[in-house]
Amino acid sequence: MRRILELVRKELIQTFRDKRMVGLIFVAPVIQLIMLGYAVTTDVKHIALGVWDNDRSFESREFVRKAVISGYFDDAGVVVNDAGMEHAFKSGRCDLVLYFPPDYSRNIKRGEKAKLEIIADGSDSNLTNIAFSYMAQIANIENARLMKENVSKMKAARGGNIMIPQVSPEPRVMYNPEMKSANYMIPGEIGLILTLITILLTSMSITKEKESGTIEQIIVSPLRSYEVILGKTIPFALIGMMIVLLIITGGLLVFNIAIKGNIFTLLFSSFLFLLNTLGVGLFISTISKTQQQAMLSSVIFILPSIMISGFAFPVSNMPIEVQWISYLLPLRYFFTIIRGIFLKGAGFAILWPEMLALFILGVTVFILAALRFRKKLS
Amino acid sequence: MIINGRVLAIARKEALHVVRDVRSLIIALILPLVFLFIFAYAITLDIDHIRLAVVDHDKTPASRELIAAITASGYFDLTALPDNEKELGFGMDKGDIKTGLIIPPGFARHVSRGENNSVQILVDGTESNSANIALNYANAAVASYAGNIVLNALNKNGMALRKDTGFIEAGQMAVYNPSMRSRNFIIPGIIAVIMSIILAILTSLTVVKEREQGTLEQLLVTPATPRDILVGKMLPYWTIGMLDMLMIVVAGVFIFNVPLKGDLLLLFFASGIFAFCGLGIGLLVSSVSDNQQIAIQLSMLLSVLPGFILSGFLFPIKSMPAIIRAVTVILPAKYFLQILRGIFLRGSGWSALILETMVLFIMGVLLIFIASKRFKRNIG
Repeated sequence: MRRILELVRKELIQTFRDKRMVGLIFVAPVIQLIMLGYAVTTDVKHIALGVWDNDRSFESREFVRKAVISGYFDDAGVVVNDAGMEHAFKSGRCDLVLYFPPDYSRNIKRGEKAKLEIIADGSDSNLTNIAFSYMAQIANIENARLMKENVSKMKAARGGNIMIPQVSPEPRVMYNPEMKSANYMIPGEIGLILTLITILLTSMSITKEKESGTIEQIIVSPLRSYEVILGKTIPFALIGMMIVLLIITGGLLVFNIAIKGNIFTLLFSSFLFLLNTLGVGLFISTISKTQQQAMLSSVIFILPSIMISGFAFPVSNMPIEVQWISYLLPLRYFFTIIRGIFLKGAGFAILWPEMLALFILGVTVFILAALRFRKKLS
Repeated sequence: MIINGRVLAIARKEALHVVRDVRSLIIALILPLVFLFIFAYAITLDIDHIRLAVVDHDKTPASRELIAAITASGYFDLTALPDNEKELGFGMDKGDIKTGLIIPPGFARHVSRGENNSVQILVDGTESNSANIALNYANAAVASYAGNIVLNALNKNGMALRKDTGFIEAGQMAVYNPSMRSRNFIIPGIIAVIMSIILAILTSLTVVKEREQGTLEQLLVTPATPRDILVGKMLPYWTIGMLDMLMIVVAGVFIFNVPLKGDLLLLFFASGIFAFCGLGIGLLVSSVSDNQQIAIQLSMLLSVLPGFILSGFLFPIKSMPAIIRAVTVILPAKYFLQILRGIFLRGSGWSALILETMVLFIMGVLLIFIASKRFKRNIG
C-alpha cells in the first residue's frame, strides 16, 4: 500500500512538475467547455432570405414579413429573378429564396391552393433542413389563420349557428425546456475530456518509461506488478475526477446548468467509467513501443468511439449495425448516464443497467490489460 | 523555401522514420477511411424513425385517426401504447421514448360537437436538435389532421369551399444538393477535419521527440541549417496529408457517390496550401512543448475541437455568438471547408474561391514563418 502511494506520488510529481502540463490539463477543459457551450448551437438563426416575387402583392410581402418576424430569417434585401439567383447563392448573400408565382395572391383570395416555392442553396444540408422546417411552420401558421378567417366569414354568412371543431397541439418539452444545445453538450463534455485525457496520459506515460528505459528500473525494484499498475493508473484517475468536478463547476457558473440528479451518483459512475479508460490506456501501452504509436493508437480508438457513442448525434438515429458496435463502447453508457443525471434527474433505479454495463466492461478491460501488462513486465 | 540537398537528406531521414514505424503509418492512412465510414454511414443528420408512444385515453375511431395521421407522416415509429402518463414518463426517463402524444378523454366527443380540443405532445428535449425537428413534425401532423376535421365539418354543413387543406402550399427545392443527402455535405468536410488532425498531431511530435531523445543536437551539428531541418521534416508529413486527402476524394466519389463538380486542380492546390497550415500548427506546437505528452495534448486541443466544431463542419458558423464567430476568422480549416464545399457541391472555380485560397496561403506562410522563428530561438 505504502509503495503504491509512493509510486502515485512520483507520477503526480512527474506530471505536475511541468507547469505547461498543469495548465493544459486544467485549462483545456475550460476552453472546450466554452466552445461546446457557445459554439455548438443547432438552433439556426439569421438565415439570409432573398425574395423572388413575381406577384408583388400584399399577400406575398406579408408572408416575407411573417418569416422575418419569426426571428429565424433575416431579410437579406436581395431581390432576385431566375438569372440572379445562382449568383446570390454562390456569393453567399442568401441561403434561401422565397419564390412567389404571379397567381399567388389571386389564388389565396379565391380560396384556392396558392403555391409558393422555398428554394435553398442546399450545400449545407443541415442548415437547409432546419430552414425548410421553419418555413413550413410559418406556412402552417399562416394557413391556420387563413382557415379561421374563412370559417368565421362563413359562419357570419350562415347566421353563426354551426360549430367548427379545432384540435390544437400543446407541445411540452421535457428535461431541457429551453432546448439549449449547451444542456446537451456540456454534460457530454465530461465523457469527452475524461476519454481524451486519461487514455492519452496513461498510455503515453507508460510508453515514455519504455522509451527512456526507466521501465527497467521499475522492474528491478521490489514493486509487484499490481503495484506498478495501480501506481500508474491511480494518479490519472485522480486527475480525471478533478476534471469532472471542474466541468461540473464550470457548467454551473458559466452556463447555469445545474445537476438535477445526485452528484454522488455522477461521481460514482465517473469512477466506473474511469476503470474503462484507464484499462484501455494500459492496454494500448502494452501494444506500443513509442509514444507516437501509443498516441496514434489512442486516437484511432478515441475519435470514432466519441462519434458513434452519441456525443453530438443520438445513437438512436444510427443504423442498427452501428448501434450494435456502440454497445461495446463504454462511452455510450456513460453519455446516457451523465445526461440522465444532469438533465432528467435519473438515479440508480433507472440507470442501473448502464452502470452495470460500465462495471462489467471496465473490470473486463482492466483485468485483461493488467494481465497483459504483467506478462510484458516479466 | 528552397529545397536543397540538405533538405532532401533530412526529408529522407524523416521519411525513413515514418516508413519504419509501420503501425503509425497505417493508422495515419486508415483514420480517414474510418472517419469516412462513420460520417457517411453511421451519422445522418436526417432525422426519422422517432420513437413515439401514445397515451390514448379516448380510444375511439377519432383518436385512432389522429394517431394514424401522425404515423402517416413517416417520421415517427409508434413503439408503445402506455396506459397512463406515468408509464410514458418512465419510458422517456429511460430514453426509450423520444416523443409522446397524450389524447385526453372525451376527445371524439369534443370533435363531433365541434368544440375546441387540445392534445399534448411531449418531446424529450435533451438533444435539442432532434427535439426541435420532432416537435415540428408532430405539430405539422396535428395541424393537417385539424385541417381535415374542419373540412369535414364544413362539408357536413354543406358549405365546403374546397377539397384540399392548406391555402398556401410551400414547395421545397435545394439547388446544389437536390437530394439533400447529408453525405454530400459532410464528406467534403471530412477532408478538412482529417488533414487538420493528422498533420497537427503527427508533426507536433517530430521536433519534441528528437529533443527528448537528444538526437536534435546531432542534427544541429550537421551542416543542415535549422531552416533545412524544419523544411525537411515537413515534406514527408505533407505527403501523408495529401495522401489522406486523395483517399477521401476517391472513396467519397466512387464509393459514396458524392458529386465532384468543380475544378480538380483547384482542389489539389488548395489542399496543398492547407496542408502547410496544418504543418505550421504542428511544428509550432512541437517547438513550444517540452515533451511529447504536452505536444499531443496541445495539438489535440488546437486541432480536434476547432476542426469539428468551429470550422463549420457540422454546425453553421452563422448561428454562433459573435465572439465565437470572431475566433473562427483565424481558423484555416474554416476557409478550407468553404473551398471544399464550393468545389464539390457548387462547382465553383478559381474566380469564386480566390479570396479563400489567398487567405489560406497567407495563413500558411505566416504559420510556418512563426514556427521556424520559434524553432530557431529554441535551439539558439
